[in-house]
Amino acid sequence: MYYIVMNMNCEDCGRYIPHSVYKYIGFCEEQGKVVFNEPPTNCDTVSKTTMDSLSSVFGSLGWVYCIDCKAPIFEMEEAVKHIASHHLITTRFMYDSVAAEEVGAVS
Amino acid sequence: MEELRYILGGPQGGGLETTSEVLSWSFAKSGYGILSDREYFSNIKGRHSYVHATVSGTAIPFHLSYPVNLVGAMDAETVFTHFQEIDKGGYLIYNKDEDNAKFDSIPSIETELKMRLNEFFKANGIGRTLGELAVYLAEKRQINVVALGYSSLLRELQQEASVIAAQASRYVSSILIGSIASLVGLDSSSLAFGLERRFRSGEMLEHNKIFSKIIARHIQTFSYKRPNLGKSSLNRGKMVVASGNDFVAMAKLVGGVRFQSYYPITPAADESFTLEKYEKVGGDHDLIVVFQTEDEIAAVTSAIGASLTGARSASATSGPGFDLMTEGLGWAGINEAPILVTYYQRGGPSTGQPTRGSQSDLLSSVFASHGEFPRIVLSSGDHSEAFWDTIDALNFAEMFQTPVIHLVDKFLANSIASTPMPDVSKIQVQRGSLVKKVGDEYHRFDFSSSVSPRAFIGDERMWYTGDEHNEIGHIDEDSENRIKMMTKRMDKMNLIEKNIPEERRYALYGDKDPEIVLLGWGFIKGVAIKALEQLRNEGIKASYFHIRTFVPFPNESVVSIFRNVGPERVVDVECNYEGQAGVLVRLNTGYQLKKRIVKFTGRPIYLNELVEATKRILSGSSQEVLSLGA
Repeated sequence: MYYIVMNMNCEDCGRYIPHSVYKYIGFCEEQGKVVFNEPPTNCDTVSKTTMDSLSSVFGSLGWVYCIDCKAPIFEMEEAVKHIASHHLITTRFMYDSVAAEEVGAVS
Repeated sequence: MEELRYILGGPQGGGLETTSEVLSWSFAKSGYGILSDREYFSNIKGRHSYVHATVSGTAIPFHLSYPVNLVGAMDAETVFTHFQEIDKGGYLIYNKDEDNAKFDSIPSIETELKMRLNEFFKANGIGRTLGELAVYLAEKRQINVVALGYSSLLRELQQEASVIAAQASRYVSSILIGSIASLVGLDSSSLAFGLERRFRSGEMLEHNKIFSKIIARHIQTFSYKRPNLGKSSLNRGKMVVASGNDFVAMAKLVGGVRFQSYYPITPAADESFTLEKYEKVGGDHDLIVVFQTEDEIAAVTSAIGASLTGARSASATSGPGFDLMTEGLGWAGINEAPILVTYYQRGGPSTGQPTRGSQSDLLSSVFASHGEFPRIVLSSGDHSEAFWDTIDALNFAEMFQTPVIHLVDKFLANSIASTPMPDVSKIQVQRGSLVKKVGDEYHRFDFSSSVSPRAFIGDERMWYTGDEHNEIGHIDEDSENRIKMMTKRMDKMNLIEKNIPEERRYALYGDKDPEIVLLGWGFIKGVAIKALEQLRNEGIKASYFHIRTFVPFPNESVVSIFRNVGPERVVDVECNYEGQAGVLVRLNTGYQLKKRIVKFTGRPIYLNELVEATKRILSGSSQEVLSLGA
């Protein structure tokens, strides 16, 4: 079963690896470059998130992360609610080599 | 415009540090004075953080104030959090791609703020979206709204150059840097200096230069009148632009510290991280050993151990870490080991507000550890004081062979300021009484003086124990010995009283015949001095009594103020609940401060709220609790 995906942008695609805080910045696995959440007009390889794939993620990893809520999710039912609210959930993050320079030393 | 006040906000870890640093260096390079305070959430990434800055071309600023002239937003949350702080005619730079974002749908906005926003939006007939708020601000509040499409700007950059995937957040920083530089007319060479200092060289630097030009083109399409900061008239010679943490680290390096221990803790760790950059072990030019220990107990005890071997030793921590150090502090006290603990104050108790500021550890520093032993407690009011107080603290520790605690507020520690370059030729390293000739009869705790000449472990036989001991260091519980040894140690307080002059213990600013005296310490200094100026402009004569050492306490001067002005006209101004300096005033002088202005939200005291609170005190109020700041 496909989850409802209308007017798809990059962030709706399974090949979009989002930045951990800016959801409009991500890395496209297909193109091998940074993309800025564009409508994938030149892209015929959109990979839609399915309930089956979500179920598989919870079966293996046991969690997803909601970029909008800045929080991990451990229950599939909750993840579905976030998707319904157009939140961006992911299990992968775009590599950020300068993160350590941008966060305060909190301890 | 006498000064430019701005707020830059965004998600923690989203490039705010880079934005703030590049702008600070660029403004300083252009000849302006700057103070830039970082307020951040205590999680690692994602939550709302912001930088609040004052830039001036007429004086080096040491205060922050509301309203601000400009808010630069990296995300929608920043706009919802700070839009009410923008002055009429001010500027808002934001991402119009997020126009549909609703404040009540942003999970990271705290519930209390959502409720306040809900009331405000309802009362003003605004829809809940960012776009509708932007229209309201432009039409009803006369705010110049600079709406930019961040995604399209980034795409434009990608077409002209490219984007380094692993450093994507840096480009969001560049949007704010470029926009603000273009709006205020910052000269391109100063901006280039700021960018070069941050990125050194390579692709990222080139991309940023290109991106600044792209952004400037977009900013030029807005026909708003530009904020005019005017040409700087400051001429202070060579300036240092650095945080309070870095000023303390620099002072430790040039002040002769050879061993620094720490366990990472906010807001102290940045000092040790800076020192680590200069760590060099072995070879002919050892500079400093920086030792990250397993906890603060090990941190303080390793500093004590290094001190006993002759190394000038220090540690840096904040409240929870200092609590663990207290037994070690007593060990240093009974063994007369000179150590410096730089104590960065954050909000407590317990974990409290780890990334927020406070002045609530004063009593802890004065009374920490059981038993009785001499100590010195200093506190710094600005970046320059933090530098020179560190040098003094190191000297005092060795001159009196006692622990010294140097209090630095988080506000000072984490704020970046432009400060005249300290004249390091004036630094004197005073190591106190040392054994000139090593012999068989060495007594480490010789009774002939309260400060016995020191020999170092390895040079002579000596014994150290946490127990009471005799002159050579062996455990001794004899009553006569106890009386002699306690008296020898405690007599150092008389030496300290004699050798640290009254004028070193405080500073007095403002009117000589004041209607009101503000009494404070630490980072209160900058805002209090600026408040005197504003009060004077309104016909109110005021002065500020700044306490620089709590042990020894400036008794004579405090008594003199109370006698000359009268207790009713002295106001305690502090960032804590109890008025802890007021407690020490009473303890040391017998005078009770009856009026006070306190703030314990974790945010610094701002100029406008201090001026207004002072006026309310003059009108009869006895206590003002301040709350400004997101």
